[in-house]
Amino acid sequence: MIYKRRDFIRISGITAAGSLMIPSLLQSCKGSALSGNFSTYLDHFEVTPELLKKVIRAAMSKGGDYADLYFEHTLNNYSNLEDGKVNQASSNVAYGVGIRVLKGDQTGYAFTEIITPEAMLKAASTAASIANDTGKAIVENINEYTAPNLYPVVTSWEDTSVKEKIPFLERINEKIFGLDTKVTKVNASIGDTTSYILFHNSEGLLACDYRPLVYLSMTCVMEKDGRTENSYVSRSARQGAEFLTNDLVDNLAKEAVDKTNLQFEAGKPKAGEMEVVMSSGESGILLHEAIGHSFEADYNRKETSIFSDKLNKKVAENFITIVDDGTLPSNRGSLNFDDEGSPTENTVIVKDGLLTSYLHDRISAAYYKVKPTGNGRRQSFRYMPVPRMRCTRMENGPHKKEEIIASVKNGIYVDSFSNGQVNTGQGDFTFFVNAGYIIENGKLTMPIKDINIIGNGPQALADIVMAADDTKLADGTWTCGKAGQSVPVTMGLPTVKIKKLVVGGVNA
Amino acid sequence: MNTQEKYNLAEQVIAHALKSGAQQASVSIYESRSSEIEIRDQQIDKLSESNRNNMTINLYVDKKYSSHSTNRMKKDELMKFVDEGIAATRYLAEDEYRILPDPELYYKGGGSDLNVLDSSIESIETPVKIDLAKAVLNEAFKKDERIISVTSSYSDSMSNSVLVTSNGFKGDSARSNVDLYAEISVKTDKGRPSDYWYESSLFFDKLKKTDIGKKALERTLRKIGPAKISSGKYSMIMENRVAANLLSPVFSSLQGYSLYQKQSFLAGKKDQPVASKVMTIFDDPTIPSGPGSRHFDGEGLALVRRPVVEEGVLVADDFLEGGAVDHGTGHIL
Repeated sequence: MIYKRRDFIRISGITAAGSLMIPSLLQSCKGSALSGNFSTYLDHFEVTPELLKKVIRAAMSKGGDYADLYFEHTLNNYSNLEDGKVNQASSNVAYGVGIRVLKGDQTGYAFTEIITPEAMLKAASTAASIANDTGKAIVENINEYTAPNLYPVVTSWEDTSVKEKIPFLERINEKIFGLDTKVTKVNASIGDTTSYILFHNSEGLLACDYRPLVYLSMTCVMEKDGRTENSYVSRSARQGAEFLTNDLVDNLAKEAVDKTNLQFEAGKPKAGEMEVVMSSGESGILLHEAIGHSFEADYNRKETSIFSDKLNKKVAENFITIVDDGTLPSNRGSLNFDDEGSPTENTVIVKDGLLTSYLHDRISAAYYKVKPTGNGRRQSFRYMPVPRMRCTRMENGPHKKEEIIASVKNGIYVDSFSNGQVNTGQGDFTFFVNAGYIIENGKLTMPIKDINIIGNGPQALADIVMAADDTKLADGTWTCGKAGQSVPVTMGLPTVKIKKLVVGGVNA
Repeated sequence: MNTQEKYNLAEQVIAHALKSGAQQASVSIYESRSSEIEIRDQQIDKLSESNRNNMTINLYVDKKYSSHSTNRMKKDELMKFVDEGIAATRYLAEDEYRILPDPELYYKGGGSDLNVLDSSIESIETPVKIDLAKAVLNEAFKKDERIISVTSSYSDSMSNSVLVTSNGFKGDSARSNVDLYAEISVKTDKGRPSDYWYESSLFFDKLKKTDIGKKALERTLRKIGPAKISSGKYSMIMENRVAANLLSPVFSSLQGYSLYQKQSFLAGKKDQPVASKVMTIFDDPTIPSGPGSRHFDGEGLALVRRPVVEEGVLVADDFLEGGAVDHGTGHIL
């Protein structure tokens, strides 16, 4: 399939699957994967340091500059409640190794789902064919990388059966129906993922990671006077089963009901260009979609991004600082190291209004002669890594939320989104607003829903004229799509005012 | 694994599932191979090859249902996987509608050859693929001074699968695909517009191999100097390349899940006008060499051509999963 645009979507459920049990091969790692013991990971994938070296040598045998091996074993679980019953569950096991060879900025890639010496050497040979030169030496010493522990797990998902998840789903159903008599349907899901990662490269680096990821989501459907409205809410984190609590369920259930009720009162604003106040939190989609993708270094290296010639130039007001952070504890977008083995960091993209960095993978970092920023990510071992975002947020600004809203005579306030997309070459973006309010003479008045907002990334960034001191992260099931791959991300924004965006509405 | 080996393994897994406590089970095994070569500015930018395989096991245990998939195909692991899947399924709630389809609805064979597999793709050498991609690129490369990037690619894939159910379905299918693609970016005072063109075919010999780069360049240059227009209501012509996006809400709203979960704007609108009278939509899985053509769906149900909208009137009531109601429509892919 050919992908043309970078789509940023909120999903209502990760592709179904998940093991309801621990496959036998994992028994060797049960309880010990969390220790970061490298030999345990080697045993897990049934490889030895000598075999890793042999495969890397094969990958480098035709003159590549660099090679890496990305072993992955991922287990997904999914449980779903509908019509009052948890009557659907699924699981998925994915296991394999991706082998990449770089020659300058060229990439050779192959993967195998059978981790045997023969299969890996064949894949290495395929990847190696990107080069056509004399083989290069590799670093023979193994350097174990001690990664930080950004997502400690108290109770692993492998130790949590579907039996233990059912009560939370049933509680969601009970709570939502109990909060409002208009509720007609509730759908709720829990999805958890556990990934074992082993990484080795031609520079001798050996790294291992245990990556949990979980989400809880629900859809509430209500009927009133012949009309049907629904809302979707979710939370996600890199945590173990301690993520599931009654408080979380109760808070989300109330949020779902409140959000759905508001839909009955909401209308559409008048269409046209106007001031837009974006609330803190989910409005980070503006950053991700309008700007973030255009900061990914592969687009800039190829000069196809609208920001290709704007490094070290002023792109926003002085009070604006934007970061892409891979180090937030238990955050959906965080990684102990990226999928190229580079340490993650809190990358400052825009500092006091100046564009100071792109988001780099290994290839673009070499091109720009900087160090990688830890943004090389991949959906799985089946894909080559490319620059991706992690948690993209704007830091606190100097204003207050109340003064921002009060400053708008005629405009809208938006606070809930479902998806967006961008054309990085032109910078044009659009995203879909689920909910918000009209602002009239500095006050929030009529609720609004289901509108598109359209703008241009650089222009929108330059048009942020006020930013509050209330930065908040969106912690739902945000997933970013690019080049046919999806990765989990988060984003955040303080309340901001953009002096003009095009708003889709009525009476245009 | 060849087809017979896949059938054997699927049947062994089903037999084990039934022996271990499932009343019904289905197994599908899928295998694919693909390659891609991407050229940028006359240099190979990416070269990749992949081989994938996957088994999906659907278990129906005491009127309860679960689904599991894995790419670990060792027999002893699979059997243990099934055992543990059955044990976990017993924790779920019953669902009387989660059953395998009525065997009467299964595809029985004997259909015409849909002609969706080109075996010759397997033997296309890498230099041929590179040359094709380069030829696409050269149609546009340096043909305009405003060009900043030209990317072209060749990709091909072959896949095959088998499906076996415990109530009598056994079927297999195979298909191929080959694509050539070009994407071009240009630099202007007001941005860096880009556009693309591609050709795709199930058959290598039928793949159009020329004018792809040329067309991508024409489309990109046409985007230079776009103007924003005033907001308003306008007549809009949608190019056929993207017009299918208009149909997406229609089909997703006719999915059984959307209907019975009351998340469909088309619920209860059968036989009512829902579109313009010039609109007739049908779902046709029988087009020879069609990209979506197949004889049976993911549950084994026989597929037929179905009208959805006729002269603006909604005539299809649903696209329901075969296991969800007492009849199937053959639309689980």
